[in-house]
Amino acid sequence: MTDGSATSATDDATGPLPVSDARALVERVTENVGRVVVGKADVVEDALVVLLARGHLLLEDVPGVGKTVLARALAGSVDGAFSRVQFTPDLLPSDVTGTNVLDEAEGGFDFRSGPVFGNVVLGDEINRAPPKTQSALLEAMEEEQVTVDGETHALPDPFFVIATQNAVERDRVYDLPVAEVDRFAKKRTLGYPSVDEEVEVLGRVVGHHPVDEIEPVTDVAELRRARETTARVETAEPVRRYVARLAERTREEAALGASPRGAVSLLRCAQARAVLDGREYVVPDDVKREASSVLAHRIRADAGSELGGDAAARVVERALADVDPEDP
Amino acid sequence: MPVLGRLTPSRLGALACTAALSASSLAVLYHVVDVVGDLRVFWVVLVGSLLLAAIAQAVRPRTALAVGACLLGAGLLAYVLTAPESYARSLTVASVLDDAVALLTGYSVLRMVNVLVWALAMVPAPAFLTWYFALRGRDAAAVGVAGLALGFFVLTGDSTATATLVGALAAAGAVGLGTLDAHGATRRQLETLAVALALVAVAPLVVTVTPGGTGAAFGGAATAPSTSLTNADERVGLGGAIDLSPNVQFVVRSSSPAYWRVAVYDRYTGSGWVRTGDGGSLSGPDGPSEPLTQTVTAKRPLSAMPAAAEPVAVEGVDYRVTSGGNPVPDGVLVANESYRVISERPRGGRRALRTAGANYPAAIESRDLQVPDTTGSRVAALADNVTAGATTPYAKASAIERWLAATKTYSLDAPAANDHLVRTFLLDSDRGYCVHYASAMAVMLREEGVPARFVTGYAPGKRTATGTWTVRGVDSHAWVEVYAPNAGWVRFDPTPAGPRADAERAIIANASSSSESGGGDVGATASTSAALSTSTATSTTVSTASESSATTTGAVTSTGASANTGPLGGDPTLPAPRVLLLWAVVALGVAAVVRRLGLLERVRRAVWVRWLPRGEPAAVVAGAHERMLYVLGRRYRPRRSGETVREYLDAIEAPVPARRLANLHERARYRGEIADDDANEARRALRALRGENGRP
Repeated sequence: MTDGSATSATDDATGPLPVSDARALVERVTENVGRVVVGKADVVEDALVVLLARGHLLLEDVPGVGKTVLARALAGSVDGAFSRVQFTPDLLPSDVTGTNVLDEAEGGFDFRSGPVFGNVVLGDEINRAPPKTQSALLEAMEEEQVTVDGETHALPDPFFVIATQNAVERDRVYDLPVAEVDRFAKKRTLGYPSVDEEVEVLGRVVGHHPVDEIEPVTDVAELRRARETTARVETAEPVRRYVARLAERTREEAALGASPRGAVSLLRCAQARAVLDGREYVVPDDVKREASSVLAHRIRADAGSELGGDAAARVVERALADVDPEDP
Repeated sequence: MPVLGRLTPSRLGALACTAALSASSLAVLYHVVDVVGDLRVFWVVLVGSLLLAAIAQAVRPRTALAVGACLLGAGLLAYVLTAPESYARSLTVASVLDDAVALLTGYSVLRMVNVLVWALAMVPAPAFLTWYFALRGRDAAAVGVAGLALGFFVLTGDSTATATLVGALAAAGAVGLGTLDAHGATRRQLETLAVALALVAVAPLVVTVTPGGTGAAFGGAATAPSTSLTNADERVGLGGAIDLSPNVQFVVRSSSPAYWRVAVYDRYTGSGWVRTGDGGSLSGPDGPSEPLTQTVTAKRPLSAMPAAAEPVAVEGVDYRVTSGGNPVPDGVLVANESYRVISERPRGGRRALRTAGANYPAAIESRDLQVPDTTGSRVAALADNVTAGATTPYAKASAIERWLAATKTYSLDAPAANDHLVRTFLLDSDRGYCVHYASAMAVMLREEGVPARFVTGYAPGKRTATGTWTVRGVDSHAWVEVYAPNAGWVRFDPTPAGPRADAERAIIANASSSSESGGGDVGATASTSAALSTSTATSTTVSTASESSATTTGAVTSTGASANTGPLGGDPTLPAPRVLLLWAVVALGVAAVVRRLGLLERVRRAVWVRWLPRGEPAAVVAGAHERMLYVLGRRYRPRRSGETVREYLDAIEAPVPARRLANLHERARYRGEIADDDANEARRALRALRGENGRP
């Protein structure tokens, strides 16, 4: 569904897209990705929610369920710069951000940008790299800029990171610290495909992989305008209060509750969800829908337990059941 | 003491209820001991049992149960050992079972000959077990034991209506409060308890199944207009209604007139007379006598066999003999059925008493000198006073007879009293009719050590032909028999003859005049109740009617009120405590039900749903939305906390108007976008929603 008129409209127009156009864009991308990734429509939708909400996505699962394919398909659907960093234990921060290289011809230092300078950046197996290297990426995510040798380089806009991490081999990985996990707007798992889906997958990948043939269905300019639309979605006081009370409730229930940054992410994702629903205002349903995937990975249910996990998901569930969205 | 560890209000309430229940069952035994024995003994036994219960707190329930069983067994053994020889001789398993069945089907314990020992034997076991369990906080067990005891007396018909009601309420209260105490009560649960108690109070009004008949808590059974004096019931209440019907009851053919005796009673209970024992035999007087042959023909159904004193032979019908020596028909004598009786009348009449000594047989002494403890020393002092100077039984009897005739006024309008009618009659009211006179004389004679008994029957009636006496309902009468050694029972009639005859004539005249106008039986019945409205009998009936609210006796009340200018007419009387208690409990229950069902809240809501706010569109939309949620909540289920309106509407598959209204509200609330038209739209949607099944 390569909508020619919509794409051409982005070329000259500025300012936010109409909500209906933003929604159409999301549908286009979802369908395009769906040509490569079998099933997982909800994960694709979540990824686009994060993209519109100006956040970053963390995918966690066992190896081989299609995390990387999903990220590549998503990146390929956008006509923009895509880069990929395979994190390994010996990866250095400069391998991510880039380095100043001595330019012998001009007699100065020339900044050679690293893979982080892209519109869609895939950080593969981020938890296999040492913390120092992880934090190079995470600082870039937070500040949307990179500083090398005292020189600051702005990252492109949009800048969207999809990081994956392995849920197995826990002993050979560096778990992301709380402060860094918190920087991902959302964390999702993919899960194994059903038998039918797997049959479909097997049928598609025989020969050459379809992800290599994916065509972009939007460009960075349109994406920027859609993000602007999302930022302008109305969040009424009752909704903001609802979000705040949910966050507060997780703090009462868990050893470590959702941070204010988590609350901000939740509200932004709710805005994106409203766009996906074709609405110019957020309703509590949007918040409820986003709450679990936005908040759970920031919560430590009991002191000493892991971040996220089933217990944290239950904390969010309880908060959703307890806090009444209709309270004045 | 475990109980002192946690004294909460519920706990105290449960203990108080247990105390009330225990007291209501012990009340019967207290009454029995009062009638036939010494109350001090009762208190000693009771306090001893309670002390034992307190001491026994240390032992385990199983041991306590064993102790209780031992107490009961020991009591019954004492009863058997002190029973009259004849009873002990006939003691078999079958006879014990027979007695048990008789007791449980309405055989009043007061009819037992040896009831004093029995009553004292029955005190310790229930009292001990009840308070052993109550102090341990095991309310159900305590109520079980005390309830069993009370239930027993309800079945024998000895428990008064008030005691039964109080006991039932207390039982429910004790279990309820005890349970609530154990689990920590909320107000809602206390309300439920109040509803349950109200049901306990009201339910007996609807159903009565106890054989003794006194189970109807508010039927006024304690003062029931017990007996017309024409039957031979085992007990007779004082101040009860008397069938003073002017109709002919039976006709006697006899060579000479006599008092036609129907029944003999030996035990005075304060509120009436009871005949102890089960059966007797026909036997003539102890002294010289002369025979009298009578042929009695019933003119209406008769459940008794009137005959002159000391009948010795009966022919013509199947009969049995009461312990008083009177024949009673098996079944009922139908009209025109007749029987022949030969009686041996003591020769010499009252004169026999004059020469008799005071050497009474032991059986007579133990049975016919009994007076309840609580009758009081003033009655005894009065009797002493009246008989001062009289040395022989005869002199005492005549002195009492004269004194009664001189100081008391014959009146069918005597005030009704539940307890101690004789004392009231002697010391306070000074007015009464034959039952009062005869009871008073018997009691006074007993106080003076002269064996006397209370007798009911008929006055000789009117001579309608040679050797024929016609006896009407108004001739029913009560008198006294005094025992004379070596002579037998001598009749005394302390009721003044003149006034009684006047009352009789008035009733008969009244009846015949109205039967002229009304004609037949119907007229006679109506006039009877009109005539009766001047008597105590009806005052009892009327008050019963007002107590038991809507019964058919309402008709009698109105008849009495219109035909009567007597003291009954305008006397507003405060309802009896029993009635007040009933209404209090019922009111409490109704209040709890109203609260429980939230009736007030529902009415408020019904109005609220129909009344929509006016003014600001935003307020209208918000108000309509709130009402919509209420209406849907009633129709489907309320929205859960944490559920968004959208989720809720989806879950209940809400109708279209609801979604339209929800959408309006959502836009107004989350977007701040509201148009003037939205208010009207919201009103329409709400109306459509309300109208869907015609009710909110």
